[in-house]
Amino acid sequence: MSIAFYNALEYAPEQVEAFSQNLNAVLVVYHVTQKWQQRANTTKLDGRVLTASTRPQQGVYFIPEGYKYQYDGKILTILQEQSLTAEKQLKMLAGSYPQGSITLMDEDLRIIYTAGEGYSDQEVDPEDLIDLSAEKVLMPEVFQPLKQHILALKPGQKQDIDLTLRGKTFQNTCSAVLDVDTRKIYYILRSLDVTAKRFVQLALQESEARYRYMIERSRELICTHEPDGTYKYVSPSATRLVGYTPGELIGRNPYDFFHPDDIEYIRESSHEPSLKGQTDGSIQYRFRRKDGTYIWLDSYTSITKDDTGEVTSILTGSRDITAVKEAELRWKESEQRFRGIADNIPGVIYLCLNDERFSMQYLNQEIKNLSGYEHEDFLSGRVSFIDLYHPEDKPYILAEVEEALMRKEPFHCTYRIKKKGAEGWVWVDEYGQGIYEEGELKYLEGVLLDITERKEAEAKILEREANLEAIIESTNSIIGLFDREQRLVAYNKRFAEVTYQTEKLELYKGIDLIGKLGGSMAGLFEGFQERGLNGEKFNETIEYPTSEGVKYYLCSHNPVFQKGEVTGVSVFVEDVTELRKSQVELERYATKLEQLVSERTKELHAKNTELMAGNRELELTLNELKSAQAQLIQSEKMASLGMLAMGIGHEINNPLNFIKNGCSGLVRELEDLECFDDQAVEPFLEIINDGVDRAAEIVRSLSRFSRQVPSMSETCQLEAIVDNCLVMLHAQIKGRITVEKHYNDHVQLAGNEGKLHQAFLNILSNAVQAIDRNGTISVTIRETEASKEIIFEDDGVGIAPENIDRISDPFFTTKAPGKGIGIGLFITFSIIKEHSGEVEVYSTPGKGAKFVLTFPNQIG
Amino acid sequence: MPQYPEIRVLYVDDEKDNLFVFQANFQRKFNIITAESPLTALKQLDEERERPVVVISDMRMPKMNGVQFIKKAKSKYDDISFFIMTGFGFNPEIEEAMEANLIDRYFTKPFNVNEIEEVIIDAWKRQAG
Repeated sequence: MSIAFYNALEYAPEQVEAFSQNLNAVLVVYHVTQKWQQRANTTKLDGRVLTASTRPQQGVYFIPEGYKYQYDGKILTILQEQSLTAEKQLKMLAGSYPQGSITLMDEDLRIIYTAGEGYSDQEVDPEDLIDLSAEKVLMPEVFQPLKQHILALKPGQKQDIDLTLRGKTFQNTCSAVLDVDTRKIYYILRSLDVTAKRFVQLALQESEARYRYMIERSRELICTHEPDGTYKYVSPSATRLVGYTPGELIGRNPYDFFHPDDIEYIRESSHEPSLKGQTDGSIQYRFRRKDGTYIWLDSYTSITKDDTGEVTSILTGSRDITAVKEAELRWKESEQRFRGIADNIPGVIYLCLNDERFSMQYLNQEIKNLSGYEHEDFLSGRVSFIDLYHPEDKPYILAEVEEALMRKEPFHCTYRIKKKGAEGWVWVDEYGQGIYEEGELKYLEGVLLDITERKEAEAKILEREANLEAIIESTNSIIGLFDREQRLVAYNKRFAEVTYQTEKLELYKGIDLIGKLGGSMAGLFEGFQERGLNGEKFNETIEYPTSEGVKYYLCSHNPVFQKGEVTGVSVFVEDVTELRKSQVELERYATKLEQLVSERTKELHAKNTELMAGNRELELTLNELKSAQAQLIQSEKMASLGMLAMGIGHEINNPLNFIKNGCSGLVRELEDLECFDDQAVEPFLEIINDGVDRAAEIVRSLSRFSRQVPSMSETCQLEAIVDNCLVMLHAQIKGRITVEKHYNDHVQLAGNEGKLHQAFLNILSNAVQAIDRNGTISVTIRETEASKEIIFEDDGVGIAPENIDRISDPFFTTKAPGKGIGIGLFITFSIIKEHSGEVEVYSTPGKGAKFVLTFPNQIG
Repeated sequence: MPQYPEIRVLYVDDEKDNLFVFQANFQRKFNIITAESPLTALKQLDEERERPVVVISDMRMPKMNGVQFIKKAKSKYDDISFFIMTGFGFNPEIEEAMEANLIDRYFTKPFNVNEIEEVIIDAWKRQAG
């Protein structure tokens, strides 16, 4: 039986297990410190549990091959005279990690043992660390992650962790080992400076990532193939381009997907040459996609060779050129279509050189119809357009083309050519242009159209127009055509003559004739134009003042329609002055006749009426006439009085102002004097003011009295109106008549203040006149629920009973001639009626009269 | 020196006698200036450095009446209080002017010194306050 001892520290427990199985060895691992008791780990060998033992206070026994030992099933005895101390073993151990360090820790991360050059690099004596907690030894930024990792390890697990310290990367391999006897876990920490290694690894990874990225993201399909073509690698863009995933293609041969027509071509032009190392140029071919359609690919190829020069791999990059290929096909189709169209259109299409004979490069079949020659005749040079041009047109054509080409612009000419086997000339309309390549004129191309028929039609129109113009010019009427903007666009000679005679205006096309006329005529014509432009067709006779007297023109306006739109107005004017004159004459005769008849009839009628009308009717008429006359007189009188009152008001009030305020100013001056006697001056001032105020009051009353306002809705203070009237009559009342006032405070009536003044004044004035010498006038104003009443009572001469009914008649008076015309009470009654009031008159001759005015209150 | 030198009053009337009477009655109280026509008055308003507190104008004047004058002056000098002095008992034009707030009220001729004094002082207080 052979037993090999391995340094268990170097291997993970599972490896140890594997060794023990395969090598048929017993592995004995001792954990050693001075404090530890001798301990033996056991392991199985051939199904037996073996226990190895060591001597006390020894470290890990590291028994390299070749050492002799005895093993009695329980005790392992190393037969070497000199067994290795633990220290030595660790040194050996450390020797296998020349760049690193080994640390052994217990469950509490207490350092049990250290070794390796790593510590000396840090200038630490490993011995000093023994029995210290790792936390104290290691930097916190190293210890914390380590602790985390280590404590997470389960027995038998091993884990690598990279830690960076002072810019260096340390690879730390942590493993946990279980002491099966004590069930305690020990941790082994191997630390190695891998800064340089990591740096290189990182760089490598980055470059690989970049390369991958480019391949994976490339729009191109990138593949590697076996020399026979079989896919080895397919980039992901395959899915997008051909519909197959890389997995579906790898292991298959592209020849399975090529278009049958392209297989040989690919083999000969690309595959075989590339195997020979000829890889320049790309190849375009069709590739069947997963959906069965074909995609056009453009592929380039490169190869890799091994040391012996054998091709090991073919690399291909392919891109989708289906769109380009299709465009190419379409262009070919459209070229064919063009030819088809060119031969079928009703015009000649040509392409020729710009040489002396315009040598034809292309002509469509239509040339036969236009010129009578076959198009081969032109292409072969047997015939040239130069030979066919009308001699009169030829210089014009050549000049036109030359000039257009100089300016690099298209040309357009209309000319005649001689058609083979035909009489007369064929009219041709040509549209052409130069074709330039890099600025050089290469060809001329263009279209020739047969416009003979149109030309003939045009000639007919011209002839018709000439005839029409002759007719228009020969007439004696004015004919003109105005466009939408009132511009005169066409006119005949007569129009020009008349305009020159009457307006001294020279006509020309486009003249704004209406604008030049100005005045009322312009407005009239503008109206006509507008009606015409609105589509109205009408005749109007107008009076047109000229230096030779008024002319009468019959103007006919006709809208000019083009395609349903009014484009202008044609005007046809006839001088109908003579006609009009006779018409007027006729009318006058007719009117005269009518008048005569009417007069006769009227006379007869009047006589009839006279006969038929009775006396009563005559009287009625007379009364109406009188009433109208009276009102006329009154309103005229009042209007004059109003004017007078206004004037008087201003003219009197101003001097009154001088008097009143002149005095008060004077007093103020006097006040400054020492001898001024206030009390002596006071009475003077008072009477002056009193006089002025009274005069002003008269003026004011007069102005109220004569107020001329049509309104019937003024608020009239009845007492104030009566008082005003009394002021007016003051001169006649003063000293002989007592006025008694019985007023209810502030009785108001809606009405016309001025008119009420008149009405009351008339009654009061009559009362004053009725009192011969002394007497009394009493005025009562009162308001009841139903009405407002004013009662004027006097103790004058009274009214005779036979006259009472007549006092309201116009022009009835009992006054002596010159004292009154008898309209006063008529007007009063009218005014009261106007105010919806009633007048009752009571009188006993010799005792006086009583006028009761009642104004019913408005209900509601 | 008038009692209220700061109250400047412009009186416009085409009759010199009216101007004289007005001045005679108010010069002890106010700083009175007068104009014989609306045009002169407008010119005076434009040129005067010290603007009047109150302008009182006669109604009936040749060329331009009082209301027309005030309409013109008020459009330029809105802060001045304007009044009409009229010899008429009644005039619709003046009523319209009152309704349009061109004038607060009007005085009749012959005028009442105390009434006008009160109104002027009121107007001055209103403007100052």
